Amino acid sequence: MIRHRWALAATLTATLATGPALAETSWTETLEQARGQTVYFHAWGGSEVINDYLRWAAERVEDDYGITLEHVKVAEIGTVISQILSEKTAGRDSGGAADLVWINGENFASMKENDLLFGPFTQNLPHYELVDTDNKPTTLYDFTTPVDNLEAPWGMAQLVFMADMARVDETPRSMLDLLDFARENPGRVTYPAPPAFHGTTFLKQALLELAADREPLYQPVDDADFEAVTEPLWAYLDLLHPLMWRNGQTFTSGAPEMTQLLNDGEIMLSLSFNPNDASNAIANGELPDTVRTYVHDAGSIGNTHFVGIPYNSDNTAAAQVVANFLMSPEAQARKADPRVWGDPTVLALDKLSEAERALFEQLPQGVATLPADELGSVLREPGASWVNALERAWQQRYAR
Amino acid sequence: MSTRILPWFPRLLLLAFLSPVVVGLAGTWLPAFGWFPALGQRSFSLTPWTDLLHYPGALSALRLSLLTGLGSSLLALGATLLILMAFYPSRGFRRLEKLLAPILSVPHAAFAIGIGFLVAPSGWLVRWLAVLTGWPDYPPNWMTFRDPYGLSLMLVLALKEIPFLLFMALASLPALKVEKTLWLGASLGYRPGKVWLTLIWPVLYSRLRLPFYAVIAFSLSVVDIALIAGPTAPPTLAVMATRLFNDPDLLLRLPGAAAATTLLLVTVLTLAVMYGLERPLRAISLYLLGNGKRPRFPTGLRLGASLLLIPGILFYLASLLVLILWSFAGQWRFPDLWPGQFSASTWTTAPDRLLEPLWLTLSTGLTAAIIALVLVVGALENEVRLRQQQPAFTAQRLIWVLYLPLLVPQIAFLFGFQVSLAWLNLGGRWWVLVWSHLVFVLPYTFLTLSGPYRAFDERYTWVGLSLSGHRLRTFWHIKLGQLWRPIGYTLATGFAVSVAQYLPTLFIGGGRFATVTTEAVSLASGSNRRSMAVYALVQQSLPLAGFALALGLAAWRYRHHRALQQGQT
Repeated sequence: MIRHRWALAATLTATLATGPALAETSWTETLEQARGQTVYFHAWGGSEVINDYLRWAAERVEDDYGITLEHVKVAEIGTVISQILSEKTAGRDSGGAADLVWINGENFASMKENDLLFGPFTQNLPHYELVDTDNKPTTLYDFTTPVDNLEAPWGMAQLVFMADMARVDETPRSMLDLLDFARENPGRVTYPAPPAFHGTTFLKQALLELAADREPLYQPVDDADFEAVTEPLWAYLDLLHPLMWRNGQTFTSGAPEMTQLLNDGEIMLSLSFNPNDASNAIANGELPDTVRTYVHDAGSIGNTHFVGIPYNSDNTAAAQVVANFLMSPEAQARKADPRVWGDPTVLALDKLSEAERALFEQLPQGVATLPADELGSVLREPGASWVNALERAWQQRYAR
Repeated sequence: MSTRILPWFPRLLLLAFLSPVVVGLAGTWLPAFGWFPALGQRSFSLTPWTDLLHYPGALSALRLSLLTGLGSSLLALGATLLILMAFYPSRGFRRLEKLLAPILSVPHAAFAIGIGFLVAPSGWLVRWLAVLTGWPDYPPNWMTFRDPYGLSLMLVLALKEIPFLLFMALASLPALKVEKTLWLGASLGYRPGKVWLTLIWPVLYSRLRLPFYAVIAFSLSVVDIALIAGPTAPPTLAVMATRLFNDPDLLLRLPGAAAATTLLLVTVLTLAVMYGLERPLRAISLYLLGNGKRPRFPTGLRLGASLLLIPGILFYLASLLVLILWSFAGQWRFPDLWPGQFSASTWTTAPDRLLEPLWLTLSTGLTAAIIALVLVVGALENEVRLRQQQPAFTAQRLIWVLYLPLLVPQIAFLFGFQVSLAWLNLGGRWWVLVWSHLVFVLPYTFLTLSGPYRAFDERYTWVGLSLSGHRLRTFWHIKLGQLWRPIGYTLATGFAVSVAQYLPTLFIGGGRFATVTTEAVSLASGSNRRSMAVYALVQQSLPLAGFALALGLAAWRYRHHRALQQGQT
């Protein structure tokens, strides 16, 4: 019942173009309803840094809003979607196990397509107004899928590479450079096997750099001549694989394993979606302090990660309050602190008050982190439909 | 014990743990045949199967699963036979026996990680080489771990299975009177090797059959070890099925269900073939061996077995040592043998993070172990009663049914089970979690307790009854009083099995139940080996503490009973 009223209120405010008065009253109501609710937040639990950050967030929302926030640590977000699907299969349209999920990209696209999300709701969240939707278009288009206020921006990501500078004189400046690098250092380069997230991202980055024309990548894959568009990518990989780690016969399982191999000295380059990852890993002792971050000249893929609310959550009020808290200047500044997590903010600093801006400006720069002006331009993610097609084609060629 | 309630125990037992499996299987078969209303799929078809067939690498994945699953199981069985032939019975074996419980409680994932750190090109072995010879400067590009053929996966699986088969063999061997048989053979001029192969092994195998089948089923469908030690392109079929179940393209869950069902079919088929081959193989081997010849068996038997056993034990010890080192490590790079710096920070922050999962693990594990114990004791007591009534009674059928959850790949029924729980609105409840653990705790409880329990001399009960006239008191003081040690051991085993459950805990709780094991697995998806090591060690220490407690309590309980102080286990 509660859920329905809130869905209604959300649609109402959306259609009324967020009249300030209405938003004000409904937010107060949301806060009231949220008090005493428990939010089960399903989020990847593979990093103690992130787990600790969420533990802090749980304390804060408990103190400020009387909400119990439980971080459900999952190894893969797909299991949560399976859970929601199981519930939908069984006809459980309320009382779902998950109240908040950490998602983006194709996971978002398929949850949206299959009506597994609550909302639209972000237009009701006071802190949403601070999000830098003008300069960070990926907060509005998630892998080209319109967000439509169905998920709240949480953090920014940009593909960066890492190199152990104790062994690397000059980092590759492009995918073609990387091929030369692999020729000079046989067996020291690899990437995760798609459909692992970072592996697929590597394919997309390579395709964006190598494609004669990027335009088709932002249209649905069915409208494009897939063979022709991706031909340069396969030609490139055919050359690269024999020069790779384990001769390209086996691949890593994901970026975490790449970090370990980089530390072990088995490989010389790794990759991450968090520009601060290398600094973090150095601080933790996971990587040597000779590791540095770099990007290719053509820029690199960037995107936004979000939190969404499953359609059958009973605690949508509290979930919205948590989503709003996670977007607050306080929470965003803490998240951006490389000593805490180092995940870049989604907020527009010029929309913040002086004091709030100071929170961000006084953050230290990680030792291996690129300054903002060297991070290069952000390449948009190809459309969500390309992900599956690329993964399939890759498996067809290299994992039969 | 009142005899009227006894017949209910086996029935309760069956109900308790068969229903989730049956319901779960059905719930997985529906999407495998195209029925998935939540995704708008409402017509039955074979499309998921053709989709699976055309999924890139599916056939190679199946081949890989068969190769690694069957290969590792046969290797493990062969190694078990070899070790027994060479060392049983002996004083050294007694010592090995004591090592088995702690070895069995090593978590799969932790073991695979440990082995990886040993044999990988940047691992310990190559580091020793580098430190001793100055070569190589950097890890060589060798294929010693995660090779595309699945050999390293096979090795890890075999190493993980040998202790289990040995453990099960040791439960049956006392009844086979090995020493006397060997002595008899020797008096006829046969060397122990031949006696083992012709007289002991056939009987032992018939008792090891079900555990061996469980090993095959496990290795065909294992996910966590295959993720760490297996190839990636393509992975094994079990990993592929898991991946399809988690794919962002939700419709891939249908071929995923087909893949899970394929795993079940392959398992059933493999076991059927194995069963069919047993008779001819035994006939052939007896024909070949039953020639009356008394060959000087290759004297290298003990040597060969030692070459197998010692590296095996070293692998276990080294993987444990590596975990301990990592849990305290600061920077640690190739080719350093030891971490450059040590730090206890991962341990000091652990209690804060671990307290809640630890409590849930303990309460769930103990509850499941105790319930299983009560049910199994009841069922075994019922057996005693039946045997009194009809001396021809055998419990063979019950055993097959009990093994069912161990023979069915978890991935083939857990998805369906999850749907039915959501449908019954039972998800996320603690007792459902205990129940789902019971499915796996019960068979092991039965396996551990049934041997010693059946070996109990009922004449003690009769004497007790005739003296006290009190059924329950006799049962409690006389029978259980003497079976204290195996009962403690059984409880510890049940607890250990519960602690190890990952998929059921994850699926049943909708993620709400965080145990030490689920936390350890989610951390294993990250890159920080320190946290991983701390969690793996905590996970491992729980069953160990259970076994230690069981042994300690038994020693304390029998401190005034010299005859019961050793043995019986």
